[in-house]
Parts: sequence; C-alpha cells; structure tokens
Amino acid sequence: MMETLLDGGITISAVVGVLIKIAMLLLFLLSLIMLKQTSMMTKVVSFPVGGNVKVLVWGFCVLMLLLTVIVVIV
Amino acid sequence: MPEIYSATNNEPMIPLVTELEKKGFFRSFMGSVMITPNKTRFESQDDDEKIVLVGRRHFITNIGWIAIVCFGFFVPFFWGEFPFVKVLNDTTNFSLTLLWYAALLFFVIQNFILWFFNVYIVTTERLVDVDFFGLLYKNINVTHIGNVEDINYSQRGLFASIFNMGDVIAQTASEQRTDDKAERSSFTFGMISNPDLVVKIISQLMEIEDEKEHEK
Repeated sequence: MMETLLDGGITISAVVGVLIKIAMLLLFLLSLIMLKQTSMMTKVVSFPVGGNVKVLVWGFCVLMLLLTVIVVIV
Repeated sequence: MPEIYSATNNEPMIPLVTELEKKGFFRSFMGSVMITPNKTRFESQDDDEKIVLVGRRHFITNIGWIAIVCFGFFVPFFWGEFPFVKVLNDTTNFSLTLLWYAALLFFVIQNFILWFFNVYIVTTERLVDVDFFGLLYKNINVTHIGNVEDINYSQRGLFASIFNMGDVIAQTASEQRTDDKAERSSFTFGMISNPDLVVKIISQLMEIEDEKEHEK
C-alpha cells in the first residue's frame, strides 16, 4: 500500500500531519514577527489609516493562533 | 521690550502643490501619490517641517503577487488529483488546506504592508526614502533639499508608459548607496506614479531653497 511506510507503523498521513503542525507553528511565529514589524513601520511613518493596518495584522495573528490550536489538537 | 522671537508663516509656497490642493487631486491615503497629507508624520520630522508629498510604488506593480494569489486560491480545488495528496486521510487533507490558505493570507498581508509602508516623503526641508526589505530590515535615507544636485526621472517599457510610472532619481554629493545594488542613488524612488509631477515639485522646492541661500 502506498500510504503505509515502514511496514505499517507510520503512514504518510501521519508524517504529513506532523509537518503541517510544524508549518502552522512557524507561520504563527511569522505572524508575530509581522505584528512587531507593523508596529515599527507605523512608528517610522504614521498614516491616519495605519491603525487599520495594525488591526488587520492583529486579526491575522489571532486567526493564526486559532488555526494553529485547531490543527495541533486535531 | 525688544522682540526676541515672532512666529511668522515662513512655509514656502509651492505653486504646483497649491494648485493641486485647490483641485483636490491626490488626496487618498491608499493612493500612490498624496499631496500635503493630513495627520501624517514620520519618525524624525521637525515641528516646523511640513510634508509636501508622500508617495509609494504604483499600485500596478502589485499585479505579480496578486496574480500568484489568484492562482493559489484555486490550487486546493484540484490538488486532490495528485497521487501524493490522494493518499492522505480527510483530517490531514483538511489541515493541509487550512495551512495553504493561512500561508496565502500571510503572503497577501505581507506584500500589502511592504507596498503600503515603502514610501518616499518630500518635505519643505528634506527628502526621505523609507525602504523596508522583508520583515526584519529597514533602510531610511534622509537628505536636505539643498544637498540635492540633480533630479531626473526615467520611464522604461510599455507598462510605464501606459500607467504613467517611472523611477525618480535624486543625485546628491554622497557616495553612499543603498543595499539595493540596482539603485543608482540612495534616493531612487522606484516605479512611482506621476514621476513628472514629483520631479516638478522637488525642482520647485530646490528653487525656493536656492533663493533662501542667496538671501543669506
């Protein structure tokens, strides 16, 4: 069978699942870096709509946290 | 009692800017050029320094990553046909789809932020070029208008002609270059819209600066 590796002990789904969990954690980490960077950018150049951009990035971070929790738990 | 200080309105009048302000052109904060934007400040701005112009790359320069995102959005619809994805169970498939769209959203926001905050600022006193490379690296060049020796612009290619965009290059005596080796000067405003307008405004500011120097 194609989906089993090492005589049935590990499946491709299990390996890919672990890789996805690691990737989600990394993406969450990147979203935190992006949040920090956006704060720095709004300090360097302050636009009236800069607050909205910050809200967008905060929203993405929260969404990433939720998705990461879902994927890691599943 | 002798007068020590009197506040005067010594802001230079730039004819072209005054005209554009009256007409109400270039006022959108999401636009590629903003004339005398309200409530906009930058890090090292002096109290008596007024922002004349803020600009960024033309919106059409985003078309590359927007096309990638449009294509990427539909990839999960047909990746079930690939044998490697076919063997995955439903849970892993669902997680993979979530990861794909999260990564796509990250890509969109990151590119948008980099476009939005990579700006050049022309004030009554200085030129400021703010460059962000990726998420962890910024490069800010500042020069006094009086130090600008030469200002010119170039438009190359079909897209540049159609969308009226080009590179504005401000030459200073400084030998310093940015980390972007393709730039011919530290003050290269790449792929901006209305480069002719930007050059005109900076030229008028340079003339005002020259007059000030002669008066001294």
